[in-house]
Amino acid sequence: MQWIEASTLDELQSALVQGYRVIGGGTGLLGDENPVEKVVDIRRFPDANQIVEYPSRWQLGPVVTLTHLQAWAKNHVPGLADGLNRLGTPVLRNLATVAGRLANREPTSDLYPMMRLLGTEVLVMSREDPQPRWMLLEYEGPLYGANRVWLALRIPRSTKRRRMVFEKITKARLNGSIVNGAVSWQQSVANGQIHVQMVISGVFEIPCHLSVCSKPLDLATKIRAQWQAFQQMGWVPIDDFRASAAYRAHVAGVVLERLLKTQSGFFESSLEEA
Amino acid sequence: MHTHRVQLAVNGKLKTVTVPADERLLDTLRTKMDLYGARYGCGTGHCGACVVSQEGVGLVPSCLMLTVRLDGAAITTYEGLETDPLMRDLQDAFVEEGAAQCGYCTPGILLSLHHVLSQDPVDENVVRESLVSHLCRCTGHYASVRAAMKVLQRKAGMKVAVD
Repeated sequence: MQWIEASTLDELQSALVQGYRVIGGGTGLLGDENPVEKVVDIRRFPDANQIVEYPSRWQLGPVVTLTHLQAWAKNHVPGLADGLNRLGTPVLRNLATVAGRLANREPTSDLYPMMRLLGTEVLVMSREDPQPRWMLLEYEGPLYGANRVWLALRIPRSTKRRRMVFEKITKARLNGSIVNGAVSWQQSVANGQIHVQMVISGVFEIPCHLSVCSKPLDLATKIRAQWQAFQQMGWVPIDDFRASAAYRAHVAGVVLERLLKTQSGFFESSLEEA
Repeated sequence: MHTHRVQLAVNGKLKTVTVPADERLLDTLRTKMDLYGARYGCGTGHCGACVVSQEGVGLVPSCLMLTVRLDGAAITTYEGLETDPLMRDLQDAFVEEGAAQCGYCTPGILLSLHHVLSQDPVDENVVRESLVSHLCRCTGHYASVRAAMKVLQRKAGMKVAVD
């Protein structure tokens, strides 16, 4: 294997042209099942391992680890910190990077639902286009590919999704049947309506998005979310078991119930105010 | 083959090694430094058998780290804590509680527990959380938790006695 370092866009561009793959934490790239020939290390890029606060955004360097994000999130997005605690193991989180976890996506992505709800954007550079561009984090699209590099991520400070709950649903057997769901909510000042958004991965090959408006947030909301999940069609299911509409509805219900349970204090007080 | 010269502080001693670019820290420790505490388990960072401590980062899986990226890093392995009093207490507690059978994963678990018991405050939940990083297929984690709590209680008792 060849290993080089790049600390400028020109060096990185040159490496991409020569077919190098970018290494961040290395947990995905260096596993025994993924031998690579050429890697370029971008940890020496300016602010590569920093979370920098700007007036309009929080910007994450490309080698910020999950542990670092978790420590930061405790003060800014507690729901994200709680969710990160359920990703991988503490030792892996010390090494795995946020960008790597998102860029090497899987249908059962766990970090994607949370970061998507926060409105995360990615600064992408490609072999063909050396000018870095910000793009909204999506599961599919021009963000991905062997000739793409993620130079930074940013979370808008104006994000309305800072309140979120993450749920990991697993079957008690070793077949990798995992579903991850994140749900966030915001309340309209004008009419007290609560807008709930969910991203669920592990059911379809592309994470599905659900959106429900409710006042108040209660079991009827859960049923509406379940009905929406029940009706989701047209995407490629991961397997027969998870493809069933009943299972999708079950998952939506579980995720929303967790929201209702963990945030019951908030909803009771908001109802009193209303 | 492309090789690189890398300087590492391992267990407090400066070492310079020449490694191919694809050599993992685990292999460097075992084949070039005769440090066998970190062991190959799964090769994907999930089992915790290869855990070492990197200064400024914390516990990391050495099977997923390229040695070439660690130039200037300070690494502590299980052997580096041989004479550490807390590690000795943990080893004693492991023997008392029967927390090791085949022993393959034990150095990694001891390193994690040493790391967590060196912090403050610590309770049983924190101990259990630290063991999430380790797979033990013959003993399980109940005995490890009991051993860690025993050490914690002894530490607390000593602190009360000193106060």
